[in-house]
Amino acid sequence: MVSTEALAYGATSPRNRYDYAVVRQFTVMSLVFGLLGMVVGVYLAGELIWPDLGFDLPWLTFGRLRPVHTTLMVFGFCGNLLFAASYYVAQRTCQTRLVGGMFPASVFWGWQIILVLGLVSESLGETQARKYAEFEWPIALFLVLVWLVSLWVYVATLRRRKATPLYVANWFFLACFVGMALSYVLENLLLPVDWFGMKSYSPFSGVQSAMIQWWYGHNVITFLMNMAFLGMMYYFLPKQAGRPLYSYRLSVLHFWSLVFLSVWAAPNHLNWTALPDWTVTLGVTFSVMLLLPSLAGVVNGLMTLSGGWVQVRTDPVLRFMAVALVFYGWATLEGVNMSLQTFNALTHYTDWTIGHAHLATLGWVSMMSFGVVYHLVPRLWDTKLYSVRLVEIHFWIALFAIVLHTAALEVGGILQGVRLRALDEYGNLAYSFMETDAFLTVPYGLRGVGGLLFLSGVLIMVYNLAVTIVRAQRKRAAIDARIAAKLAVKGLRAREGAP
Amino acid sequence: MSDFLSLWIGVCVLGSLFVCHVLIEWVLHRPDERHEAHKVQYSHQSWGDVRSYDHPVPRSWLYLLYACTLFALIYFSLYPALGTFPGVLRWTSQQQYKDEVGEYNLVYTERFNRYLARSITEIASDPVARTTGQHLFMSYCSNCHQGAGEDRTHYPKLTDRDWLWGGHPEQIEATILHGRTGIMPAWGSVLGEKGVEETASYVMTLAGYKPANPEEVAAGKEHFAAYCAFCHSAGGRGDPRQGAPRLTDKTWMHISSKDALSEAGLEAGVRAAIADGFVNLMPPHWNTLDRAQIHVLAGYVYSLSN
Ligand code: HEC
Ligand code: HEC
Repeated sequence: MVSTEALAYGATSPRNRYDYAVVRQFTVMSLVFGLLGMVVGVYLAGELIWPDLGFDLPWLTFGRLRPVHTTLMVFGFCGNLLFAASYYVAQRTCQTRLVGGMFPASVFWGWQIILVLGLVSESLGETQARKYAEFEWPIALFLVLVWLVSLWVYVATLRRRKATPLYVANWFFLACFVGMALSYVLENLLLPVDWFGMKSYSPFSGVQSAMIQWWYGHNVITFLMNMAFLGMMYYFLPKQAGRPLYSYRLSVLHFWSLVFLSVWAAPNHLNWTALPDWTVTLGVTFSVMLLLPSLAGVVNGLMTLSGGWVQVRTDPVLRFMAVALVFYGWATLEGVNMSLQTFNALTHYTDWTIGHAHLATLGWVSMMSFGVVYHLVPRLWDTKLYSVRLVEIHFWIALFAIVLHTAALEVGGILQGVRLRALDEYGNLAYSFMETDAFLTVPYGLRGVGGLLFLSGVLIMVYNLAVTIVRAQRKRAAIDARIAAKLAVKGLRAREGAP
Repeated sequence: MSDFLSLWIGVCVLGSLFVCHVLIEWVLHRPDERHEAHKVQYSHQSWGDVRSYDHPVPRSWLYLLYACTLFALIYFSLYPALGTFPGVLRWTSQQQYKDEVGEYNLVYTERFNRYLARSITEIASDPVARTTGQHLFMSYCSNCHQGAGEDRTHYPKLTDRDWLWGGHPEQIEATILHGRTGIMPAWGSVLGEKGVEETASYVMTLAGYKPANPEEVAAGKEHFAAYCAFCHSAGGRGDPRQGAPRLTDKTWMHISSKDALSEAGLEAGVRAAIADGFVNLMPPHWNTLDRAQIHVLAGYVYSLSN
């Protein structure tokens, strides 16, 4: 029997040509975890202003909630979106369906189970206490397994393509998959205390442990938060603009310079520590050289839009992506500065670092994600966005929120750094620790407002997308019903022997 | 670090720079660019639904590339980066630390040591010295004593004239220099519950409360003379030689100011003090601060109550 779907959309409909079921699921879960993560983030911002918000409940304290926030954002929001975008882009650019039968779905369910297990155990205090690698060994092991399956699905899909060279976006996704796998495994070489308990310890100790930890931490930023999102930029930005990418060869240079330079840069997170001097100077040099990929990406993206700036003014979805790219350039410039020892001595251990991290994650990662999701959802559900006006509103709220959030923390962080180092005329520290800290309530307040605004923007987006999806499904159900009715009538007539 | 490891690091670092350059040169000089230099062209590939131009790489990017590479090579030759090669400047972070401490001492030590020639009372009346003292206090003492003058249970108030160990400038300086250990033995097992209650009633009368039960107080007075007076002195006047506090005033160190507000709260606190005793440590500072700093601190603390 002819499937109703084929009749409704025709054999060439993207619905049939591509396998979107799992892409849709990943997209939705990315939004769910992203929203949750931002709610937790705003709550944490509140705790910094009113410490009593912890209510003496262990799982509500700052120490437990903070890793919950980063896990939700890094693995929940970014991770799910990586899967959604890479599986979508691989199919579209290779003109093939997703490979693997039940495997894509198992990646989806595996990933969500990992997240739930991880978040619950973190809330209960079961954690390695290593940044971005809080999951204890059973969950970490499970994660590696699911990650390898997801890599296999991705590579097998790419191998089905007919055209020879791989579109550059796929290179970036591939680097993300492989790079994350390598780094995660090295960071999580763990010795379980016993086979039936959660607790485990890393074989590294002391400064080596710190180095491994930050090499991994830096790689999460490079591979998951840069590479994956650059991959999205390289596909979705030209797509949304309806213009060809500016320069293929520049994107190749972008890719290779980023891969070669970035894996060396990690020691810049450990300036002025017990790390041997040579590692630090190496890290500094390669961090400075990271200007190269950063400039390449920004130029390539923005030049793609040159001649089409009107579109950026009229299409808020494209504007999300373009502005994200500007934030990418800005954040990497800051990063280069922060790796320099002298500047680092001022900003390290202050809230500047948190400001910088959020400039990158709100400005670059989130803005790019919003653009991508606004582009994806209508295509995945074969419909139009419910309201472009709401997208426009979301854009301006988000932009304002980012500027407020960043300015508050970075200005506050610099003041904090200045106070931490200030000497009186007899060479004593001019401020007590409390005095370097207490005044931060004001920047923390502004940052809280910024976070709240950003969150409300996301709420608007989720509402907009939810209505879009529900309407699309209703429409589709109506069409399906009409076709089913027609088929039934036809069948009835055939049985009755009518012509 | 072994020579092999050092060599390995050097080769890896320079090698990856080199390979990066080879790749870049290769991309830059792909045949089509050489023939149709600067001509904007569609790359003939279209990937399903995206297309790409193949514009030549912007000059600015190339200049940045060469500048960065030059920077890296210069930096690697000046500073330690390639394994054990120490760099031409022979810079180390340890040496930089030592140099900075040396510079600091050159600027400040002599200036600071001038305070040693002045008496503590003089320092206490000099506003500049007081500010210096306050900065020191906020860095080294406020973690326990908080901002001077703030009330905190188990720590003595430094703004009043009620001293454990004496309030003469020399006594204060000795306190800071050598530290103090206030020990009050636990009397619970000696006096028994009833004895503790009786003694507490007596202590309450010392603090100015009317006795509810004169017989109890009389018994308490005897206990006090027998067990307490050789530290707290007869009548609870206190003894700075042992750090035993005066019990006749309304300042309490070990009873929170909230408890001390009500008679019942205070009495419960006094009973607990008698039954359980204390060991309270003011750490010595001769090994962490230098003499001039301690001198200025003594002046600052003295100024708080004088
Ligand atoms: C580890 C906590 C701690 C630190 C740090 C500390 N103190 Fe104390 N200090 C105490 C305690 C506890 C006492 C009470 C000792 C006792 O019960 O006899 C005390 C007592 C004193 C006294 C005696 C008060 C009296 O009534 O006789 C002075 C003066 C004093 N501290 C000054 C300082 C100064 C100045 C500094 C900074 C250099 C400092 N303290 C640092 C805990 C501390
Ligand atoms: C060995 C000497 C010694 C003896 C004996 C002694 N005390 Fe004390 N007592 C101290 C010292 C020293 C402190 C202060 C503790 C500190 O420095 O933290 C103290 C503190 C106290 C306090 C708390 C004061 C406050 O400000 O909070 C009370 C009440 C007290 N003693 C009552 C008694 C009574 C009643 C007895 C007799 C049963 C007694 N003491 C016997 C040395 C003694």
